[in-house]
Amino acid sequence: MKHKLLISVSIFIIIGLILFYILNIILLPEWVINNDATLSARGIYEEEKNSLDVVFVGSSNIYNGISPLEIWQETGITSYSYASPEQKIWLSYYAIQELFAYQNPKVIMLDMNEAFADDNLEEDNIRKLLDNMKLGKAKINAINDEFLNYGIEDKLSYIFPIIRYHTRWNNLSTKDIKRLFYHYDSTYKGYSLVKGIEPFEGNTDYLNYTDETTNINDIALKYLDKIVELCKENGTELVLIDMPSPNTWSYARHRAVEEYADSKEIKFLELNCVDEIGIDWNTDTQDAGWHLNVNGASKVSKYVANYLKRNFDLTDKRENEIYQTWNRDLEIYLKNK
Amino acid sequence: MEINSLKFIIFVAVVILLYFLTPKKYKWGILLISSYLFYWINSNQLIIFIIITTISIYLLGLLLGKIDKKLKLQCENVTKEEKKNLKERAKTKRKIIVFVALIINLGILGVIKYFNFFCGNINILLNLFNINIQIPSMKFVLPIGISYYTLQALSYVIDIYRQKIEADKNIGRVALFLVFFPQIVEGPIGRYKDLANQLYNPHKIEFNHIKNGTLLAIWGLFQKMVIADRLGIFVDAVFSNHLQYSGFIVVCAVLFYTFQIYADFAGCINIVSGVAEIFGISLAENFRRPFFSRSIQEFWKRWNITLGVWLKEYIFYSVAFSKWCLNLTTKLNLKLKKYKHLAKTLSALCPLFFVWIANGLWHGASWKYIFYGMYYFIIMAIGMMLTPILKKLCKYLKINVNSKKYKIWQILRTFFIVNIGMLIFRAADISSAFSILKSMFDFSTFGEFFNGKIFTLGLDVGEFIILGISLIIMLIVDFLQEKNYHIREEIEKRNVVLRWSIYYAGIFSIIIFGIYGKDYNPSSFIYGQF
Amino acid sequence: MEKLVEILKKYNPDVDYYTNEHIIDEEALDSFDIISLVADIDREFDVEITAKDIIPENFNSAKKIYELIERLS
Repeated sequence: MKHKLLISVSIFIIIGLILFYILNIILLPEWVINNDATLSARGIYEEEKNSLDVVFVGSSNIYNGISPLEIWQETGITSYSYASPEQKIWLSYYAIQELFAYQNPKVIMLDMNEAFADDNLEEDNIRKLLDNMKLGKAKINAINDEFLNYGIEDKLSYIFPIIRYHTRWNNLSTKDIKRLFYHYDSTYKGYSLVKGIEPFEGNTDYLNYTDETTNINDIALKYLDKIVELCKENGTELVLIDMPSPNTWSYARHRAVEEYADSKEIKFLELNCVDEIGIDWNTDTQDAGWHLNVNGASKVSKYVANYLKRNFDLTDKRENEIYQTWNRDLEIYLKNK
Repeated sequence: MEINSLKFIIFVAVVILLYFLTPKKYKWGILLISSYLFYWINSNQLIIFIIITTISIYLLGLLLGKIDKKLKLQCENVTKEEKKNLKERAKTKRKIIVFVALIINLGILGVIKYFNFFCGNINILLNLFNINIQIPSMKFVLPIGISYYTLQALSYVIDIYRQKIEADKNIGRVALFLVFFPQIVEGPIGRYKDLANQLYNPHKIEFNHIKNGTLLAIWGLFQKMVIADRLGIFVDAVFSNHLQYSGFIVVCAVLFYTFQIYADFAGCINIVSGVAEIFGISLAENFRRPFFSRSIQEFWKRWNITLGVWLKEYIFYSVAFSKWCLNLTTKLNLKLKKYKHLAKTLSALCPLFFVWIANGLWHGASWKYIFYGMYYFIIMAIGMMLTPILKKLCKYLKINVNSKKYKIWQILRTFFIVNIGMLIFRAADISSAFSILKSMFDFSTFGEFFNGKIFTLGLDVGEFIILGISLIIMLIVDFLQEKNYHIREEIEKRNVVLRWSIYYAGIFSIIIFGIYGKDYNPSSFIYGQF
Repeated sequence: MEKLVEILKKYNPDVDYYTNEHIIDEEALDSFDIISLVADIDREFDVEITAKDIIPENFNSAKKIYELIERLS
């Protein structure tokens, strides 16, 4: 009698958990998953384990500005743009933690644009990364971070998104059901291909020397140190970069990053106002200087590719059998460019 | 710690585990400790008040018992004259003890809950007489459950006084009776005779208890989180801005509030009763499908039943059978010999008045609540006085009072009266209540049913559909129970697919349709604020 | 005993007080009747029925009421 009871209770619980799991997925909002931007965060899991040699981490500047397939085409180096909208440095720390669970890149390039923003905790930006992150050590560390000060119900809402999104029952559509069978495509390796042009009409010569100084945000600094430590432990070289951003970048910022990089003995690659890249602000931006489009991204990516080739000992994998899918992906990319 | 929160579920789960792992002798101790822990989490240092109450009734109860024992010994081998004297003296002593118990415990309750109301009125009087002194209002935080456990404490002492129960030598039992965590938030108000042994005796793990208790709790959560809180969104939107609305929308708001407070209160009672049932303890019934009542008298025997019982036992009977009231009754019976019904009614109205003052005030320290009590008092008084006239009228008009139609008329009539009562209860004060009542009769707005305005008050079409379905479910459940259908047993009898579908539907409808999370604002239990 | 029944008949003449043992359960007398009834009994039989005596067991039949009266005198 007791055995029968135990078995039926167990089956009840198991079926219940399966239903719960399915409901969790169905009720996720559209923007969390099918957004081009958040495909970058999801697509990383589609890559073969330890197949990436370089990973770019940061905000929308990264997934709009670095096109890994360009780098592949130039040099045969495998890379990925692992980023999410307005990703602050503290969030990048956890992104990198998660990254190391699946990949062992030789180089990580971290965009410093968000290091000067105040660390507001806008929920949707946090969720655009974390709701797309698998449940693992990094995610648990992230929601437990004292900086966030989450109560138990908030923490659970990251493990079980249904707690946060259950009100979506009022807006369900067939797309939500299809999501159960969806396969996240990382053809462009985290890059979000945008062709639109909206010229930037401001000062294109914004990196002239000034005496002004600015500081890296305190919290960003704390997590930068952690990132430096983490990369060292993992044997990955950290390179600080900043994507071309005429609306926000300045010499003051350049100087601040340079000083930090020097103090930590890590490389800093400035990408703003570099003639060799050849950015044309009339054709290379999709939204008046805030983000690059595919023209700008190609130029930047080629430059970065050559930098990587010159400064690091990374293998050209173009003839390697295992990476033939990259060639196929490249074809698709070039067709759609 | 709200009862409809994840924290509470975890808390209960842990207590259940500890309870069943603990050896029989100490099981009740787990309930006691966890209840004090629960109390501390909710009210911190204010726990001192329930401790004072516990100690006071424990000691006074024992004292009463001692006096009785002493009296018995003294009464052996004494004359009838002496016996009478001793009895008289003992009676006086006992009365004093009860009085002390009342002073201490009602005193605590009175000061914490009613000080500001009392002083506010004194201030108004002082103002009237141009005296420039004003008593400052103080900030009191109510310890959780004080309105409930104080009544339980008093019932313990008075029951000993009335020699219905014996004083308990074990202070732990008395403590647990007051602080038992499922009932501390919103009741039900228990009687010592019914509850003490259940709490103290160890209970084995019984799967049926766990299952039935959990099902009851889930039903309660459904009522609270899917129905009550959803209604609350609409009700709050209208009541907080009532000058802007009239007619149809206000009628809806009042009607919704009646359903809201029922689903909220009965839901909470179901949650805690379910939790208690898991431990093998059955708490007193507090709701018996009140909206099926055919008279206001019947309504108050079906709504907040344990409060009604308490008021009947300790106020109604105490007043009705006091010397002065019995004298009054006799006088009325003599003077109005011809109008027997009138005499009976008037003699009942005397203790009834006190019952309704108490009922009103118990709900809150303001004139609005006194008005609420008086509303029902007057309705009941009129009802009682008109009963013989109505009977004759029905006979004259050849109306069959036993027909289904007449019963439905009675239910609707009672429901209407209750709705007005709930309006008073919900309105911010007496004047708002009247203005809202007036605005209900704006017939020009009844077209609003069709113009979609009703969907702009926090609930869109989808929400209304869910509301409608869940209200219908609750109506069906109540209707079946009214017909003596034992729902949990009946579900048991069905096949596994149907049973499990119902269980899953219950659980997931709360998770999906429950009003919780960042997209809604949470609302605390209505009756938990007393 | 007959006197008691006489008093009871004043409140509800339709009950057979000699055999009915469920006066309270059947609500043949309601709680308001009980008040006047107690006043009458107190007067007629010179006893003092108090709140503590008001339990269904004491009032469910005429016999029980009579036993109560005897106990109190």
